[in-house]
Amino acid sequence: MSGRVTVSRLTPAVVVFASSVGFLIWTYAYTGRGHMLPALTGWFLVIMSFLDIVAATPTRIGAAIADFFAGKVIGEPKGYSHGTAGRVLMAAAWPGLFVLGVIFFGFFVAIPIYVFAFMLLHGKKKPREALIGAAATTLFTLVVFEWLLNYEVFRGIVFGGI
Amino acid sequence: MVEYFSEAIALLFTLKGIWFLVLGTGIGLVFGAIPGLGGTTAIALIIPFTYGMSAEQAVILVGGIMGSVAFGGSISAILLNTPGIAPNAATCFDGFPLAQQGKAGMAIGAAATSSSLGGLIGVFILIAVIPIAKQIVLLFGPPEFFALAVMGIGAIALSTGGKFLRGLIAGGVGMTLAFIGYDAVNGGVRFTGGVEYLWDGISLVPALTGLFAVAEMIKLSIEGGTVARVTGDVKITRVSDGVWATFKNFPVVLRGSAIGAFIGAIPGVGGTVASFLSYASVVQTAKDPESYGKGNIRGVIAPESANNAKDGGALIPTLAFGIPGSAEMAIFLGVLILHGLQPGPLMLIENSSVIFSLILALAVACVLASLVGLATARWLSLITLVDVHIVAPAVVSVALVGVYALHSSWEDVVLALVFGWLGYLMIRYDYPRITLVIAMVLGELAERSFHQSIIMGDGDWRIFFSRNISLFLLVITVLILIAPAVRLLIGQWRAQGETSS
Repeated sequence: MSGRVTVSRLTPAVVVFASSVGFLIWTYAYTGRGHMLPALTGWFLVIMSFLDIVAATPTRIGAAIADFFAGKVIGEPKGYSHGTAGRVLMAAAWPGLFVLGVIFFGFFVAIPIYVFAFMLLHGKKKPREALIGAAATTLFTLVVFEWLLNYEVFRGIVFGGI
Repeated sequence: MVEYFSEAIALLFTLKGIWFLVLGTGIGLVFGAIPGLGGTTAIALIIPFTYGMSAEQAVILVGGIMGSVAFGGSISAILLNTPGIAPNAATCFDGFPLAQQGKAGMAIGAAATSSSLGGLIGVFILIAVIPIAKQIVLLFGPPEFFALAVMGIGAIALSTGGKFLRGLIAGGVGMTLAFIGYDAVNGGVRFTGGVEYLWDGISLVPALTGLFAVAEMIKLSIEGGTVARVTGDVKITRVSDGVWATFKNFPVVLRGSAIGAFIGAIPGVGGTVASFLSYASVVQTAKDPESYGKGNIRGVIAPESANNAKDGGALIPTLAFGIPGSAEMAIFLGVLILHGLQPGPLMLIENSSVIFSLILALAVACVLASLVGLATARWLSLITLVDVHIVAPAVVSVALVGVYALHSSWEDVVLALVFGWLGYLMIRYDYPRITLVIAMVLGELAERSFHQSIIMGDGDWRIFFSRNISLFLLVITVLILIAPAVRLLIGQWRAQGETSS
């Protein structure tokens, strides 16, 4: 147990706690049987996320809770390189921009632009490599989904997709 | 029974029979490997093409798909940490770390062999159980389903080890997500925030694609490099290592297959629960639980054997009672009805040739898919050596097209993106995604069974404790929840004993 409160551990715990309280309040907007299990889950979440906050504090009770739930991590391995805030934001923004492009212009416009731009700007690839990547991904989508599976891939709002 | 099998063998080993089997296996492998598609989509798409076929030919084609789709999904789970289908998600946890260590060939070899063996064991269980199927399925009522769902979430949270608290929180969040949409109890909609798209609830495939495919690609594009983390001269280990590892761990295969066949036979629970429970069971009984999640080959063998064995189990209620155990089985039921067959006890007597053709096709497809997988594993493994900045945009693009293709809904694409961001935050802040997924899968079943049980008990919640199986499952759940405390106490006692001595 660390002797200090780490922001990276406390912040998500506080956010989850606040969301749990919000959800619990929301469950009371419903009545009867439809309210029972969501409310039970809401209370469960509030208690658990509160314990998570306490476990992140440098107190004896926090240490006890952390010990109680301790053990060796056997799920997803630790040690990921988190990168700088700017790089994280950019990495998360790329798929967002892609989806935005899909909604407006459809997959067949968004895919080549996204793949080309991502490889060129984020991956620092040569323009020729980025062009090949964009063409290959678009062609794969066209062949597999449109030709072989006979799906009509989304064309986007601009091209009458909705 | 021998004469039924002879008839089925005669039907299968004709030119047309072999063609439909190979075609079904190929379709299953491709649909399984492409994230966002899967067996349900494959069978749904193939239905119109079966019009002109005989019932036996149609079930051979569908059997080929069902037998191969799970292994197809494990390929992308191992190489890209992106489960092709939801049940392959458990394979990611050890399959992908193996790929990162340059042992993708070994992981695929193990997945192929355990899938194949699991599928065959599942088929044997199906053959053995068909005569007594009715009695087994009728043992499970709503209280047992509720207890099973709660136990599933608890078991998975425990399997996350040091993340038990956050595992439970993620499970709670998963349950809240499962509550979104139409309320089968009161008839209205809940927690949709006025968004019409959410009336049908959170669609599982886009959510899973986001949580695993998109989130993983965001993480990889931050880190850079290649999927395989080994630097320098990366050696793809021999596929045969994985094959031998599977035979060395045959008890894991047997246990996984039994779990898969049993869970598969329970309607509404499905392959995802089967593979996660199989994974959890191998972790809980391991002498080295800390090695899981870091590339333990048994972490690949356990879910993959359960994953394929579940098909044999799922066919029990589908064929014997006409109760589909999953969406895939529901569509398969449609194929049978389309061909003038009425699933139920009478079908076992009147259409035995169809049933045994299916069983045989399923068994052969499991082996065929694994052989194709083994033959191509070395080349498939090379994907892990490609720069992530090439892989990431391609995977995100194809996965999101797959998500769109499922219901032709652009909202599904947005949902996958939102879950992709959520998945990345969960990775970054150490919340296990496994429990969230499992709770999402089981949430609807848990709530429905809970209310049905309360109605059955005339409002008395003691119904959960008055039935033997339900009580047994709840006791197991309590033991799971107190397990960390017990471990802690035992550790403290041992430490005190050593100090005093």
